[in-house]
Parts: sequence; C-alpha cells; structure tokens
Amino acid sequence: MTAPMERIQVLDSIEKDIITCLQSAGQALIELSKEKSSLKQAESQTHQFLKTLGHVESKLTEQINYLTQVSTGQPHEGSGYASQKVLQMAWHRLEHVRSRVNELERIKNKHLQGRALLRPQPQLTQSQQNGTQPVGSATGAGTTG
Amino acid sequence: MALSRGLPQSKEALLKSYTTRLKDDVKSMLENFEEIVKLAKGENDTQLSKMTQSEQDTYEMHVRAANIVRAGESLMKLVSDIKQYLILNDFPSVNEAITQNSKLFRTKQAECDQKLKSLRDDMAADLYDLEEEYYTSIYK
Repeated sequence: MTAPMERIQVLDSIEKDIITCLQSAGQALIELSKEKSSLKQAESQTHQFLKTLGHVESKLTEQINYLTQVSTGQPHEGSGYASQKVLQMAWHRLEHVRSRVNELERIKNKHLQGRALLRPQPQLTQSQQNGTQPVGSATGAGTTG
Repeated sequence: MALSRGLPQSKEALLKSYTTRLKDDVKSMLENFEEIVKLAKGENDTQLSKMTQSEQDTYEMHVRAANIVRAGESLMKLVSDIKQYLILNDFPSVNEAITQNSKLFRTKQAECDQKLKSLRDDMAADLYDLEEEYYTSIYK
C-alpha cells in the first residue's frame, strides 16, 4: 500500500470505528432496557464502547498532529501534466501507426479480391497459362499501385 | 510548537478547531451515555408522580440519545474534513503520488516506443524484400 493511500485507509478505519462505537452504545442500552437484562452483556458492550471511543480519539489526535507538522499553508503547485502529455503523445503515435497499418491491410485485401475476381477466366490462351502472368492481373496491380 | 509557528494563522486556527471539535464530540458522547445510564437507575424519591417522572425521564433519554447520534455524525464530518485537508495539504504524500504517477506514465511511454521501434525494424526488413521483388519484376 502506498503512503498516500495508507493515511486515507486509516481514516476509513476510523470512520468504521465511530460506527462500531455507536452500535456498541446502542446495544448496551438495549441490553439494559430488557426485562431480564444480562449485566455481563451490558458491561461488555459498555466496555467496548469506551474502548472504541478512546481508540478513535487517539487516532484522530495523531492524524491532526501529523497535519500540524507537515502542512505549510501554501498551495501545492506540483503536477503530473508533463509525463501525462508524453504518454498521450506516445498513444497518438501508436494510433497513427495503427491507422496506417489498417490502411495497408485494406489495400492488400482489395488487391487480393481483385486478383480472385480476375483469375477464373475461361478464355485464357495457352501461352498465358504456361507461365507468364495473365494480363488482367497487371491492370489489377496497376490500379492498386 | 516551534514547528507550528511557520503556519499561517488560518491554517493553525483550522487545525486547532479540528482538535476542539474532536474533544467536544467525544466529551458529548461520553456524558450523554453516562447520563442515560444514570437515568436508567430509576430513582424513587422525587417530588413528581411516578408517571410524570417516567415521562420526563423517557423524554430526556430520547434527547440524550439524539445527542449521542449527533456527536457521532459530527465526528464523521470531522473525519471527512481531515481527509480533504490531507489530500490538499499533505505535501509528502502528494509529492510521492505525483512521482509515482510520473514514473508510471514514463514507463508506459517507453514500452510503447520500444514496441513501435521493433515494429519499425520488422517492417523495414519486410520492405527490403518487397522492394527487391518489385524492382526486379516486369512491373517497375
């Protein structure tokens, strides 16, 4: 746990302790209000109420003392903007590259589709079938070039 | 106390008010709880009739219980104010949070650029082969 979050976590636990304190006080009084009240139970609830309240007071006093020592009264002028901007520019570079690669992919697919359409031609001459590439594909390559 | 002399008066007064609020709320909770328990004893030697006395005691218990709850809520508000003050004025924590964030962002940026550089190198190698193929073909 990082130091900045630790203090906030401690304050969260103090809040829970305050609620526990109120609950113990309520339970102690409920116990006293019963017809057959258990003295032991009432005493333990009261003891818990007093203990939790003391705990809350000591922890809060500690926090206030720490704040008295570290606060200066001046506003904090630090900022993480520079590194944030650097990361944002890196992200922009990445997006630019991604868009260019997607464009290449699109051109490649278009070219392949064009070749697939031109390939099954029933009137190819014997010389074209022998080894040289068909004329249709040259025009297909020309349009994509 | 010498450390607190550097604080402006308003901040010092604010922190002192936090201490006062804390002490008052804790004292209120304790006193009201103690008084409710004392009332629960039910003393018989009063000038009023039993009915009236028990009505009065009931009303007093209600008021004291409400005071305990009010003091608890006031403590919760105090904790919230301290959290706010901590976030704004606890310079060591704020500095550390900023340093951590800056480090994280710069690490991510370096990773991103490293991946882009390796992608560039791969594409340059492929481009070399493609250019060789193209410039030796009949389509050039």
